[in-house]
Amino acid sequence: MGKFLDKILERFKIYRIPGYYEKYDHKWTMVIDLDRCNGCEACVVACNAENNVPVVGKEECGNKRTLNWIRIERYVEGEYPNVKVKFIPIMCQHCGKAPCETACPVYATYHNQDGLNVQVYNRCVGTFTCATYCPYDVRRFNWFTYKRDEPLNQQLNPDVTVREMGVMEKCTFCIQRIRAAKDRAKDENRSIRDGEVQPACVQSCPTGAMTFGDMNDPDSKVFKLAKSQRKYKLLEELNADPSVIYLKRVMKDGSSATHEE
Amino acid sequence: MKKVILYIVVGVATFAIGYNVNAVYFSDRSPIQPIAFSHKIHAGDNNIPCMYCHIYADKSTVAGVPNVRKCIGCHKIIKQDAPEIQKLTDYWNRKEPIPWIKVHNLPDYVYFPHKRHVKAGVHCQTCHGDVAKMDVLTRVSSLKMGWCLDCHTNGAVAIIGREVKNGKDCWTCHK
Amino acid sequence: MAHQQHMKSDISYREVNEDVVRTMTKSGVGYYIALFLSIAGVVFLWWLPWAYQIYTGQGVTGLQTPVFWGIYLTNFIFWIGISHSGTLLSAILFITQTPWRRSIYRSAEAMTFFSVLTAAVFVFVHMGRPWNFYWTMPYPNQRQIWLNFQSPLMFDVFAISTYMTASMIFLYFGSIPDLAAVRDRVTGWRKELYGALSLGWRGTDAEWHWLNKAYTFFAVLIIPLAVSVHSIVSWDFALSKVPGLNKTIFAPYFVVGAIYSGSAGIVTLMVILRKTLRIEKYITTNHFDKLGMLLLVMSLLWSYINVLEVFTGWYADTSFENEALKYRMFTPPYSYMFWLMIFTNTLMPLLLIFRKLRASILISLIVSLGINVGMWIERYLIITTSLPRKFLPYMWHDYSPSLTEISMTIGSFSFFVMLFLLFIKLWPSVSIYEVKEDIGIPMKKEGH
Repeated sequence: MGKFLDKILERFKIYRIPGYYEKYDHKWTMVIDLDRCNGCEACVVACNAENNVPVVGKEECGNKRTLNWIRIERYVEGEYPNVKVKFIPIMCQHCGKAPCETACPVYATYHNQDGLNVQVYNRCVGTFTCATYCPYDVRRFNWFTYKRDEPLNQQLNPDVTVREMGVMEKCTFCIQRIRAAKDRAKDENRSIRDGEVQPACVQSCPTGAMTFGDMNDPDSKVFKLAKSQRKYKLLEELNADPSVIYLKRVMKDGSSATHEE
Repeated sequence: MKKVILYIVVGVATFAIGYNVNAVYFSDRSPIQPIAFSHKIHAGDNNIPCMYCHIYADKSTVAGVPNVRKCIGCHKIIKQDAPEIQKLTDYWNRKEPIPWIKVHNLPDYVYFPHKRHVKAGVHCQTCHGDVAKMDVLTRVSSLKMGWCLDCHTNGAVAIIGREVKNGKDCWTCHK
Repeated sequence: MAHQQHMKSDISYREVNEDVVRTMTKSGVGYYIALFLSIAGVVFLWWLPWAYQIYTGQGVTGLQTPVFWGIYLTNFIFWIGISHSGTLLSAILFITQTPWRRSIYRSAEAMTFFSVLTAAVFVFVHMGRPWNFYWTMPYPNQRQIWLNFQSPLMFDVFAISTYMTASMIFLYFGSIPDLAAVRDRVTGWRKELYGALSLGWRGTDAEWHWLNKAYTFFAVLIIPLAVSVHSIVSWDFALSKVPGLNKTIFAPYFVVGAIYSGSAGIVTLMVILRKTLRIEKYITTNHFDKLGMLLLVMSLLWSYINVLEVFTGWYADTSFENEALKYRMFTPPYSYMFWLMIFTNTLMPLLLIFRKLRASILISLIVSLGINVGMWIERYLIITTSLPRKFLPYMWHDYSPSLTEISMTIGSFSFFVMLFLLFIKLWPSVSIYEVKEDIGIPMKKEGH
């Protein structure tokens, strides 16, 4: 009995102490350079294709029921002709202290050993709580059973499951690609090289605005980029500790702009 | 009171009979295949290694069902007049794949790489049973999550000599 | 202690027995019409739309990406709130030895049980995959997965199921002597039914002693339970980071709101019951006077906490909180609802300051109905004005309930009515033995 209690206490102690996740294998991080983003939405298309994200049609889009895992938020300021448009791509921020993880009663969402905030689709019972708690509104719900017409069902990615109706889903940082890279590295008996894993959005970005890598590796590109003076995290004041780092856009007059200003 | 006991007895008996009938006659454990292929003859009597036919077992997530050409490769010569081989030749002549019924079927949300398991040193028989003695292939494992976890938590030490890394992480096996 | 009487003292014991048995055995055409209508309401407005929703998916609701919670959760909190009536009236007033609870507590307890049942169904209604509901229960399984005990929803499951069980037992224990009394006065299938239900009650001193012990035990147990249930329900919201929901005041706010709406629910119910069952002599204006005081106190308390809730949002002065408050208080149609809620829940109950108005059945009915509407709106506003105005303005989107949701809301009220209609015919809805206690011992009376 005492041993059992000790075990429970131990779990309480290690839970959510800052730096707890650092002892993990990897800490996957994405750096998004807003200076380079031109809002072309190639990442959105790539993500849809890679992750079997259904296309819901015009009407459901109007109801805000799109299932895009990544979205480009557009903010327009001022009147024509003095218009300023700002873009920011937002996907699941894979928070270190994710609000959604505390919400799920059945552990359908949790933090894994790679520092990813993952969603287990087949465990989800659909209480909507994680999506409500998410400050970034990145979680998507399968409102219906989405059908794919005849030739389109052939383009489904076999490494990603097709989600059932009534299940919450979200960006996974293309965990199937991480898994494939790990598999390859294990076969060749080495560790994963920097840049070996590229989520679909990173791969498709024509301007190279997005970079993906392991924060635990001090030689990685993201580690260096994260030292930039332009860096900020989205809604940092909520203390969710996101894994996505944005680099501010610098305007011509030298002022820098985050989307929040 | 006697009535109640009678109801209970009848209820339990009905359940037991129904359960067994279902398990024996309607289970998906040993489906009837389009061709009465016998693993006993191939893998047992003739000692053909598993990986001669299931060639992707150590290279891919799936072990691979052999194509008709592979079957015909031998059966062009061997036992051509047997009725079951006639069926095979028909498929070959019609240029059709054989509609095998999958015995070890995992749900879509499960990621099971044969490669990792074979490379870790798990024998085929550990999960698939002693196929070399089966005339009709039967699924011996439940393929339920609890069965997977038996090895993934601590049973692996007895099989491959070490523990599974991140064996209990959901996304190790789910996708 | 001076014995305070709340009913006319010329009622005899025999009259009490006969009156209660009459409510159970004799029913007019009106009763059957009402029962038929309520059952039809449940089937066509609740079960069928629900089946449609399970088959088609949650897409048939008006929910969308920022607003994942809507009218279902509103109904859930509303019914949980109503369920606090029985606990308060029965348990707290039992412990404090308040005599006027005696003729109304049975219905109040039934109300608790039925409304918590209705609320529990709404948990499943709002789930995306309700056929997997058992995953939220802790049971050893081959999958070796346990539950997330950090999750407020997890505690919801425990709290509600415990509360439901406890309130059912509480209701049942209190009725055993009455079930026996009814058993001795009816014939046919009823005799068998109440014979089984009364557990062979004979009314010996030992039986009374143990019943009293058990009842007191549950009365003491159920009070912290009731407080915890609604606190936990409030944590579902307060634990999020959403502006408008993330407030520490939420637990007491919800508990007070629950008791408030529960008491109002009781007043409404009593007005209807005493008219339809013709039991005016047991539920008198005296009761409404006392209940009116209770409503007034709860109204003041609720208003105070409501002001505090707005104040904390305003005092935080972040752009998120300000936007949420602006959206709730000054943006139509929510502003209309907000100010209507203030009117019905803060201003209208002030009428009850006057004793004359408290004793008026009509005023009591109007005020209590107003409070119920207001409390429903309060829950609706908490959810639907916070979630559409979360942090990123790009995602802002208003919510409006779909026909399916509205139909199921109406259906839940039919469900509650149906349960209650069945209850008044199958259960002694006025406590026989406690009413007799209130009347006093006839022999003593003769001595006056």
